[in-house]
Amino acid sequence: MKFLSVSIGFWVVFVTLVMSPARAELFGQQLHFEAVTSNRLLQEAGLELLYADADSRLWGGTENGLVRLRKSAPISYDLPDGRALAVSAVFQSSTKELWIGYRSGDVARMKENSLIYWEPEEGHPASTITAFAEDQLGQIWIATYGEGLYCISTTGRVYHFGADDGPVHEEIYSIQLGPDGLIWAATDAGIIRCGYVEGEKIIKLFQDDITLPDEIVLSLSAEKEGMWIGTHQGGVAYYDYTDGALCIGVESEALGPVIALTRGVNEEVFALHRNGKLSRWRYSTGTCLGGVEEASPATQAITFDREGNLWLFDDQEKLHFAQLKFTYPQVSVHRIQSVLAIEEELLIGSEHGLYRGNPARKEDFKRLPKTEKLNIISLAKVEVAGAEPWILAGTFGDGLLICRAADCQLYTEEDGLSNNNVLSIAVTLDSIWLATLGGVTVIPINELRTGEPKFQKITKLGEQFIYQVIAVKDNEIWIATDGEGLISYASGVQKKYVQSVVNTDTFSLERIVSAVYFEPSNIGWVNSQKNGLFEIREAAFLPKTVKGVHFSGEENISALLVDAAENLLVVYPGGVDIGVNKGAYWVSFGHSAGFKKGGSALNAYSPGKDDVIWLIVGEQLVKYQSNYTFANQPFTQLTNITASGVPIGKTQADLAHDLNHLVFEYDGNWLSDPEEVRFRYRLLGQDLDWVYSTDNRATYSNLPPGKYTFELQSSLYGQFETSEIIAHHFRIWPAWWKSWWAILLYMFIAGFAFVYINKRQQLRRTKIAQLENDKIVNELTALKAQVNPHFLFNSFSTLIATIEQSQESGIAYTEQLAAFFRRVLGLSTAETIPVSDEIELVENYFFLLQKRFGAKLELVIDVKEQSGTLPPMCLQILVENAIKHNTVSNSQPLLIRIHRTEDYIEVSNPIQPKINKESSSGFGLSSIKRRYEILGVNGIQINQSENDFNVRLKIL
Amino acid sequence: MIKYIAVFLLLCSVFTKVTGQLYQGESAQVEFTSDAPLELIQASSKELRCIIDPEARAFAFRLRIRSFEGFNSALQLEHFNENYLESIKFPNATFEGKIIEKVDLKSPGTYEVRAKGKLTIHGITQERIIKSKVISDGNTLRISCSFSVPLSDHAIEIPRIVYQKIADEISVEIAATLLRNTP
Repeated sequence: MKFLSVSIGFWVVFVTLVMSPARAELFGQQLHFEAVTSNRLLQEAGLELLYADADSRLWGGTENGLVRLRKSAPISYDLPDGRALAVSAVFQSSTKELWIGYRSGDVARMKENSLIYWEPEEGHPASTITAFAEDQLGQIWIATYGEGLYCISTTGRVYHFGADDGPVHEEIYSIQLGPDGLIWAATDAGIIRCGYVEGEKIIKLFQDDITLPDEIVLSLSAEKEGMWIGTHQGGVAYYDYTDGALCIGVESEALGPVIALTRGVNEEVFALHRNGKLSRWRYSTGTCLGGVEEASPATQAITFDREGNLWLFDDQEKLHFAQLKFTYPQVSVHRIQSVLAIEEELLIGSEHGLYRGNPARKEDFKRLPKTEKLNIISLAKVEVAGAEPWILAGTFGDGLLICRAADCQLYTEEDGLSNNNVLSIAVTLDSIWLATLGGVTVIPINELRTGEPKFQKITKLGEQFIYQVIAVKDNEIWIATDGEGLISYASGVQKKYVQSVVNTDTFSLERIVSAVYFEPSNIGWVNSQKNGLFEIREAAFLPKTVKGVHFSGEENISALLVDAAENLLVVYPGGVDIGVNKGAYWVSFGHSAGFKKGGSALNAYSPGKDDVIWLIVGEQLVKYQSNYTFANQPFTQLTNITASGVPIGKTQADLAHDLNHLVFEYDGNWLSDPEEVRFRYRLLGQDLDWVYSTDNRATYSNLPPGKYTFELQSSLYGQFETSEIIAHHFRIWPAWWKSWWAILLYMFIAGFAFVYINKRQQLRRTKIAQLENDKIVNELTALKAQVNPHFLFNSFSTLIATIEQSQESGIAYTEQLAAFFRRVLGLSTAETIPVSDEIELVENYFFLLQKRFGAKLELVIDVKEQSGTLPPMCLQILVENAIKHNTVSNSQPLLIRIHRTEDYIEVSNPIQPKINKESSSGFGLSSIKRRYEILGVNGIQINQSENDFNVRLKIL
Repeated sequence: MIKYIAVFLLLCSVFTKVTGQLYQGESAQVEFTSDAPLELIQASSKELRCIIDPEARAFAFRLRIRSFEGFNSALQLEHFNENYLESIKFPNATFEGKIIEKVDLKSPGTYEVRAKGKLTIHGITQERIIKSKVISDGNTLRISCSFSVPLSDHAIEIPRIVYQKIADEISVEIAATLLRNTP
């Protein structure tokens, strides 16, 4: 028994010995978690999972469905049938499609901002969806707890991977695309790897020769060349796929089952343990480094976003986030004023002395002896070949402390130092430059190596307050002064800069300069207290606007520098503004990143190992990871377009003429600081300039037909110069009746109509002319008839005979004849005459005839109704015709009848052909026909039977 | 094909021997429809043999291709057998596998299940998941399902000239009644 306890003791010691350096790396460094919301909706529904997608949207899965967490109240997304299902997995594919898995086995996708069920022919799973993944072929994989895996192949067919296919344990906790291209599944029986390639199912177990710390694997997180493995009892492990090595993060065993792993940045992973603890791990050539994040609240769900924030949801239904760029090492030193990195260790200068220690180890900082009364405000080192570097520590009021190995000596004004307040120290190859409140002092290094330091004053700056000295390329010194502006020293030549001319504008650098920084490329940065930041380029000073929200330009800058990723850092009490790409675009980090307001330090930064820069912000030590690069622009997105109230897709570019009232809805997703997102948009073809807005919609009414492009940008604090333009092209078509082809059609129709009408009119004109002509001929004929020689001759013969018989009858005949001619002459110009007049005329005419023919000719007029009109002299012509064409004799007397039916007057006579036909022009009937035509009536009907001839004239 | 028949027979014998609790086909109807732009072809068969082991949730279906009747002409039937499905070479179509859902078909109820198995037509095997509805009253199972069979899945080649007359996906409907078989 004793032996056993000894052996356990040995193992504990062994494990501690072997593992402690490994775990120390990240141990004791703390993220700052900022609580953002405590929402009633979340409290009621209970958030069970978090998922930040590539569009900077934060999704939450609750008992009742999917919610999107936003600056305002969360939006819940209902399923099309209204079922409230518990969300168990959320995933965004490479095609930006959002997949949502439910505990019921249902699967939904996000389409046009609303959920639709995934309903393949094969049906959806009936067991809880635990995870999604996507392989290199773009196939979506669905893991279930109870039914194994599903793969949606490129053809759209769904394949199942279950126990009947091989060694597939069907209870799957998590899946990830592994470095081998296969889908790795975490199960109670270890890891299974599956694939579906060219119609073949691939099922493999995890490497045979590797023993995982626990067979039960609960979570996975893939890296490019390896896989983080979260186990039930064995903590976190990392499998390096390139060399097959497996490392185990020992401490996580004690933290309990690893229920979730979330990939961070640069091969870091966050492990969520069942007890609510969060641990953070990094793989470094064969070792798993890491430890618990002590400041994290009791956590239920985690996710990591594109902006570098770790999001977590705690057991108090509160959402928190932490920015990974900044960590706060747990050191036991307070009121920190200065920092200097030496290898793994840090020197920290505080109001209470100088400390030295390894920041990765808590409680490890030791105060250097006899420094407890010193306020250390500046630190520098002098490299010594083959030995520990010497430390130079400037104090506030007590002079300069020089430590050569363990020998520390304090030098004051009594020793020749110009002033006891040493604010900044710069070291070149041969000298140490000191910025004091009493001017600049130089110490030659060579003399220091052999004996006591000698202090040399730079005479012209003897009495000035000097805030900073920096060395550029070992031979150029820049000095920031209070009152003399910026001064450079190179090879004994001094230059003073107080103002600069840029594009005819004079910018005063102002005499108070608080910070200066030079890159190796000789591009520099300087802050003047009143006029802000300047870029120094070939001795010209270009003003630079810091567009962050926190830095006003008048604050004391505690550090001004450019990091390894070319970002310009402006550090001031309460925040850090990062000018991406040397100040082209600014991102601001304030209290939500953990920065506190407080005493301002000067020149308080020190570059450390692995692209780390140590900063002092508000008397707090901050570890800034300059190699962590994250998205720094909001994700801009058109979410919805409606045209005249009709939702139209983003691909619908052609709009009908009446879809001209357009509403564009958009988002600029920025989870870190959503309040600072600004928009601008314009409609090319309508707007002349950008429209600036913080609203999420743009409305355009009554757009005329034409081609348009809607352009949208989002940015932080209104920095649009570098942000991406989202464009939506569309076209409003004119109404069809206004289109070019319609106009062409109108022209054709108009042309045809013109030609047609013209033609018709011409035709009518000819016709009228002809009719007029006819009428003239008719009148002429009538006149001719009036003076028909036969008629006259006959009439005169009859007249003579009558006179012979009776003078009185003769007179009467003559009167009748005269009356007839008068009447004919009077009527011939009229278009129509009353029926009564026509009857009178024919009676008149008949009287004249009867004197000649006597009983051989009989006329019966049977017209009682005398209303209506007729063309003139028609009856006379017909009677004349009858006599002309028929025999009128004693043996064959001719009976002419005129009678009226309702609308017609009919003139009829029996046919008694003459033996000698009188020549006939046939003019009579056709002349009547023409007269009717002039009047526009088809008014004559001619009927001829064997014995009878009659003509019917329409009464008008 | 012989291999599959052997497997089928083996399944039958194994089921009967070991469990003694099997459902076997009582009546069944398979109907297929080819809805092509120029022609609609329908045919059906009643010779679907089926067997389900409720304990193992395993199933096996077999259909004699030559038993299909219908078609629009005798010539079409002949083409179907001789040219397209080559029913002399590949006399049967089979589908055998396992039900994914962990259901107990012996207890009465209506079940929506997914049958995962190997569908063999024209000698070509494809893995398929077919959604089916099973109504059980304990002693009988009534199964209905419909699914589509892309011709390309089973190397069924259609001459170019009849492209417009035969759909490239044939929809199949199955209705079967199975009786509990207690030895």
